Amino acid sequence: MALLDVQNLFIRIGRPGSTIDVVRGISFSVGSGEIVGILGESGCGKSLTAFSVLGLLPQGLNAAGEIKFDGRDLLSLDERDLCTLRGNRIGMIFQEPATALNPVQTVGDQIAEPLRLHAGMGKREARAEALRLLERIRLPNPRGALDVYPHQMSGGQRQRVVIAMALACRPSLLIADEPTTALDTTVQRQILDLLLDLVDETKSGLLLITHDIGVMAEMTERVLVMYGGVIVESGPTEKIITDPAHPYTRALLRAVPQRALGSDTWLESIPGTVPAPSERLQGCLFRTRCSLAGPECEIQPALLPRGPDRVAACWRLPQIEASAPA
Amino acid sequence: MTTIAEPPAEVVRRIRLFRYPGLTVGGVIVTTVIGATLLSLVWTPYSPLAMNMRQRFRGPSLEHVFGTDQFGRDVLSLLMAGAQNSLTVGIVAVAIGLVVGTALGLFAAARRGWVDEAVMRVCDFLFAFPAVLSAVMLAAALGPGTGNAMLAIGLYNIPIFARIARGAAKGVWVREFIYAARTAGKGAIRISLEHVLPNILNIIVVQATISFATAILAEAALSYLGLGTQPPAPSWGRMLHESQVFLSRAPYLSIFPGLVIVLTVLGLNLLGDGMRDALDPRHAQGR
Amino acid sequence: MTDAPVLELDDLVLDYPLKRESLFAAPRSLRAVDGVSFAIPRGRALGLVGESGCGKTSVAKTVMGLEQPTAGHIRILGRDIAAMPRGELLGFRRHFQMVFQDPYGSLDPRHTIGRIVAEPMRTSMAKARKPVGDALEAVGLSAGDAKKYPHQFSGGQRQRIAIARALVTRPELVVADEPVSALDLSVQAQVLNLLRELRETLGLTYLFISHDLAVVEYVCEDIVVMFAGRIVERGATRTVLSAPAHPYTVALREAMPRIDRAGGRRRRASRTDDKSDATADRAVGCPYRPRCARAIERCATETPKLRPLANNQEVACHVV
Repeated sequence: MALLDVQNLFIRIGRPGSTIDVVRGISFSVGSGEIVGILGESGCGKSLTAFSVLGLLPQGLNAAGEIKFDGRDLLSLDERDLCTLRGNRIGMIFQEPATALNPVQTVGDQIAEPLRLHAGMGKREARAEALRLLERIRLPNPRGALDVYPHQMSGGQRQRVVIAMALACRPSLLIADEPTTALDTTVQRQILDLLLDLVDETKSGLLLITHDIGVMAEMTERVLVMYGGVIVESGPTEKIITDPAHPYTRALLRAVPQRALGSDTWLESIPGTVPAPSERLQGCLFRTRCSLAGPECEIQPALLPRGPDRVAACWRLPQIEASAPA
Repeated sequence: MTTIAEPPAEVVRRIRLFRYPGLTVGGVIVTTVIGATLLSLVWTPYSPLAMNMRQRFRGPSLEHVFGTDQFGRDVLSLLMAGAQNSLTVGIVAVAIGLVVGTALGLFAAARRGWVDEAVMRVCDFLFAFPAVLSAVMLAAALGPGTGNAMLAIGLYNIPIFARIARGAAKGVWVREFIYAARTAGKGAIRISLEHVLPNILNIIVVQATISFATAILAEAALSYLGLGTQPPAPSWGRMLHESQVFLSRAPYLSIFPGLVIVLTVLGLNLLGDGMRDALDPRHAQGR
Repeated sequence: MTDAPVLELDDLVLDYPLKRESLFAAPRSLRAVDGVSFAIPRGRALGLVGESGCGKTSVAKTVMGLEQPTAGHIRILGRDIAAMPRGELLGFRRHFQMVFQDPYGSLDPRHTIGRIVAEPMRTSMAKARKPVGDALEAVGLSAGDAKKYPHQFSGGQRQRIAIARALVTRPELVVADEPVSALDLSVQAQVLNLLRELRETLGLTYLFISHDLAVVEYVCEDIVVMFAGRIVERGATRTVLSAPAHPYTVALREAMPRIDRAGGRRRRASRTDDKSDATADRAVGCPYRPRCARAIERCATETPKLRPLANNQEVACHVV
């Protein structure tokens, strides 16, 4: 059984008189020791999906469907049970290490806090464990770092501390929301390597949310591509990168600047802009920007299997498959 | 699959009308108060200064809607006439504080460095004097009266506005559109007026409504000390203060001036909030 | 004047003053740019890359006159802008314009698009109407958009507006600071293509700042790599990216997450060290030394100077 199993998840903004579904019926799973990516642009619902797993949706947003973690349905848990899961069985790594840490508390105290709270450790024991964690995330001079405040560290070091906090109670699932977006390229590389090592060592699952195709390609085994609140395509990362099926994924991969490296070719840009949740139409949301769109696209296509381990939601799949691969 | 159906045009029009309920309600209240004040210049139910010892402490009745006070004066007439005083004090005191304070705050934020430090230290110095104390000093120098009370309260408002304007302006100065304006060769004064001021106006408008309320109350306190409006000229603050003595005997004497002050302040607050929203292009035009 | 480079930096130094520790302490400062020289001939695009804090944005700000250089010269179309009288500089500014990183922050939310785009022209709205309309159309928007406000546009459209503002005075030089890094991927390519097209049709010269090597290669034929305020390597973009000489450029290229490395989890060839963001704080020696696997003794005692390699490539390193 998968560690995390999400079935038919809807996330809804309720306003009196009108509701908007920002996430519309997505299903996916993450197994132990597996790295699954959610790829998408701003407003596609990828971060909200992560927040809903943690029960951290902002006020006014509601999740419906089923989120099973270790066999328990998270959506039916009350706040207290969720609190014990959060930071204990599920660790969260946020995008902005500068704001994820408390500026007036030393790094050591911040890592020790969940240990004392969830694992019931004493003060000394928690400090020793914090030191062990700082060593594990390969922070230079871990002993000195215990008594340092976050602002005295660099961005990369802070993100390491955030990861140490997420790891503190040996979670079986890690959720990382754009963990390297705020970091420099060389530091990003180190953090990504660290995450890979940790997954290998601890056999915990990792749900990695990113808008960076390169990060997604290198890190994940399976990927869900989201557009406008739905999964348009999912499957093994390598197959999706080399042979994308959905017109959106195909267009995205043709628009990546890396594609033009070492040549004079022009990138094929995607016309139009990402639709805001409030201006979403019925049917396939990508159809306004899609070169293949036809009248049938006004009906939402279902995710249909494409080969043994992949699915894609597009009426034009037969045509795409008939033509040469992208 | 949800779609957001376009609401019919009639509904849209109705929503537009009530898009700023605060603005509407606040506008009605403020207009009523100003209307009553203007009316008092030419007409009040009774002469606000006419005493009638046989009619003392009459409760609200058809004859005297808000009752009469310890000298038998008609409270409604007093309130209408007192509005002239209180509104003038509020407007002038806020205007002094707003104009001078905002200018100082904008200046400090634009110049940064030691100029900023100096301006803010002077403001701290001004801030350290309670309004009453500076009014006492001014009164000692210039003599008591409504004018000096307004000046004193205005002076007290300057550092408040200066601080708020400076804090908000500093936040605007680090935004990229300021860099864009600077690369266009605009100077600090033009940037302050064209870019910074419009972006901090909402905060200042809200502060103005708050300061207006405190100005009316401060004037009351000064009048109480004999430094503000001189008797027998009526003012809301003085009425509130003088009625305290008769609180158990004639509670309505406190209730009505208090209610009028609260309503006026509430109206101004609503108006200020509504104006803030209406001034913001993000609210003014739908998406 | 025509054969002078459009932009020329000559040994540019920029210090930022730091807060004094106490009233009596000596004034301290931080050297953000440390002796940077380069020139961009007319019609070429130069990419400036490096990590945050390496001084690339400071260079852009100094070029735009937002910071006063501590030492050195900036010449635009052969004219030293620091030495130019204020009144003359006002008029001269129309020759160089800037596109900022954040399309949400760089447009004043309280001004109409028309007013925003007209800003660099310093003229009446009536006189600006025609050029503003032209500029908006040049970036793929319509002249009618001038009446709208920024919040009515998406991120990509806002960046087009910011580009229109930079084009309205028909400048020779456009400085772009990370113009696509805040944009959605599906919109990035639109804006990059627009920048490429405009350069061809209008003969613009670009100083293009980015942390993304692929983006720089797409737009610029020349590249300058900065580290800790200094130039560590420069040359033709394609040469430098295919055969980087400086250890930092090598690390930068290797660190780029690549789509062609897809294949489940990347197998890591070498364990990265953790001197991640260290820079040497001493004024002597190579600033990259603490992070460099190839550092030798000489790197600690002598600051490497730029020296030429083949193919017009230059590198500041003792080892390679």
